[in-house]
Amino acid sequence: MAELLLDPNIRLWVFLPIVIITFLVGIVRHYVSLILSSQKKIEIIQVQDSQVMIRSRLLRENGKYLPRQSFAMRRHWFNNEETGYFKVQKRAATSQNPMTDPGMMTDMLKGNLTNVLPMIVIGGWINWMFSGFLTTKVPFPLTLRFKPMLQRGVELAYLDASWVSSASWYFLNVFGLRTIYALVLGENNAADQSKIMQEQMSGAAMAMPPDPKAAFKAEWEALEITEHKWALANVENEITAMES
Amino acid sequence: MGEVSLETAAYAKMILHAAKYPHCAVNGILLADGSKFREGVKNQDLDIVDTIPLFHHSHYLSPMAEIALTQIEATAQRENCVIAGYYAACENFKDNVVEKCPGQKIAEKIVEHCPSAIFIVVDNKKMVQHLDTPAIKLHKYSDGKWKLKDAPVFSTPHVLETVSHLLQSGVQKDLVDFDNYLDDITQDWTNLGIEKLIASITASNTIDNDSEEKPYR
Amino acid sequence: MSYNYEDMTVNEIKDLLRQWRESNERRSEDVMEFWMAIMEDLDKFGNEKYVLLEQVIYAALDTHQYGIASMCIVILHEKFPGSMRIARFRAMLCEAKEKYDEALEILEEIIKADETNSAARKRRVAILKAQGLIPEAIKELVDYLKKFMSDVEAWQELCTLYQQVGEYSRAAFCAEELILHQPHNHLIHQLLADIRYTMGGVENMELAKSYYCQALKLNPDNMRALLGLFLVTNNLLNHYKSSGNSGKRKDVWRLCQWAQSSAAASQRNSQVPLTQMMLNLAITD
Repeated sequence: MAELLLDPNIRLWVFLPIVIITFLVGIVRHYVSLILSSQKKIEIIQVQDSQVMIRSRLLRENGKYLPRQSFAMRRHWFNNEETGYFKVQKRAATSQNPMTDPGMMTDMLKGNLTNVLPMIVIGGWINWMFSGFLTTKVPFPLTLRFKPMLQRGVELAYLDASWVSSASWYFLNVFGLRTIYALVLGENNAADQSKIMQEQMSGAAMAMPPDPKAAFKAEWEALEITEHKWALANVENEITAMES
Repeated sequence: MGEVSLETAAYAKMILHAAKYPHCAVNGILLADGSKFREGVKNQDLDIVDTIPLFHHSHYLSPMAEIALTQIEATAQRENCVIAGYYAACENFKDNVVEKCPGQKIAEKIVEHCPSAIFIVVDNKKMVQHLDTPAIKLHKYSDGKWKLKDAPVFSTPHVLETVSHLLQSGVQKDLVDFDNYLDDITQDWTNLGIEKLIASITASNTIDNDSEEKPYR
Repeated sequence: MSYNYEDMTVNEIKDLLRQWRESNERRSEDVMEFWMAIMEDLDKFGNEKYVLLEQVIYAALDTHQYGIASMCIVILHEKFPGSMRIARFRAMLCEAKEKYDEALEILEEIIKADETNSAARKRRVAILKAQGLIPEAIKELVDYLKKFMSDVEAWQELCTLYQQVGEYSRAAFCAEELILHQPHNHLIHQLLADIRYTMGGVENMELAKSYYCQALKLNPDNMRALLGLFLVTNNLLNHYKSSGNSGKRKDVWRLCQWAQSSAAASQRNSQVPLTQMMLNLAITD
């Protein structure tokens, strides 16, 4: 097969511009999201709930180090039918629909503004400006399966799979510049697209604050079935045996 | 009758202990010379020859105090001394009264065994690097209460100068109290090293009265 | 042990200060001496500069050098205006100068702005404690713990405060809470045992015995636990002798023997050995 030669102008006017544009867009995104981001405010009641959950979990796990009476007393405090913490504290089930919470709405809007919008606009623009170019060749042979990934926008059935098209080069840059951003902007920057992609995958589940009512009920059940086994019952024999 | 005299080493250890843990309450035991001591006599002269620094934390728990007291009693008997008092310094800068001091139970126990026992409170406000007052308050037990008495007499000269010297050269860092000893049992809670140091300073003081600037190690 | 800070390079000082910071050592006087030596080279510290400044603020407050403390606060304030953390330092400065009302005002503002700021709430307890108002401090701390139930530090402080006012059963409760949080810390097991021993009574002695044993299991070198165990077993031995419970008495006797021999063994490299008399205390059986 005849070797393909690329016009040096492609390097100058397609290959490099795509790198520079994606990089700069990332930087701009970082600063825009810094301006737009609002510190999430934590309600004291949320802190209290989470701390109660920790304490109850620790009681289940480490309760064996307490005398039976102390353990029972604490469990009573959590689980008693009339006065137990998990029974008395009534938490409203969190609203299932985030649309009802205006704070969450603005957060979502801001997220979209900085993440999704530029992705669509820049991606579309790059596709339109630089479509149809081959930009570079990876220096190793690849199987045909890589063709749709590396040669988006260039539908040539007989082209070697190691050639990279301009649109694919853009995507490679979007995901590959992460370490460069970390270098330039420091850790935990907002420029990283791939993180956002991950977030969008699991985002729906993560964004919802855990429902304290359900969590309390689960913890109540778990605590109810916990049996107390005094871990120090045999410790005297253990230490005397340890020496001899 | 009822005179209390302090030796340099006894006084120094007390002050150094308070200086080593400025952010903690500290306490300790006073040992009196046993040769002049008469069992069970009230209001007799006391010649405090040594102090044992006890604790700088967990003042309100008894087990380690019991250990320490048994231990000190045994040592004191060997050295012909008697437990004749208690000293304490409060955690809070402004608290300089017996009522705010830790370990009053220990002090009362001591009184049971030795009716003329004394209670010394280190006066936080007067603790400075150049001591010009003894910075301690002496109390005696009478009618179920600790009553403030006149400051004790020092049985050796130049006490304040010597102790100020020790404070300025940071000797307090080398002081070992019973808590330190329990953390690391190779340490010496009788503080023989500091006693020797004080003895050498006192010796040079008596040879040359204005030996303020004399270098020592 | 003092350092000749003039001979040390900035890097050595930096490492030493970091070491103290990480191990929470309160060597305020040494820190202040170092501060004098490195003040000019502050920019060499890079991002560590700000943590260092905080460390110096604490040390300066400790050694009553309020001028240096407020200077550090100003530097930090210029870098991070509006930071709650720095507002807290300002409150601490007021606190050190005994302007408690002013300090409380600042803390009140912090808490108003951020309800979840636990450090500011804890400082309020500290202010009460500094004024000697122990019962009030306990009340405030209990309120705090209702909100922040898994704050180990706060439980520990409450435990100490309860000891101070002689409420040992409540102190024991706090110590138990600490064990729940850190079941592998031998010092806490020993602390609970100490409290139980102080409370007295056969039941508490039995518990103290178990916890001393647990502390020794976790750290065989814990001298306090070993001696405590010795005391407890002696105590129990006397009790069982009079009540005639021979089964239990035998067990305790064995434990007592063990504690004595271990204590004697660990005494060998001590300068002032525990006197034999002390160890023979109750072994008159």
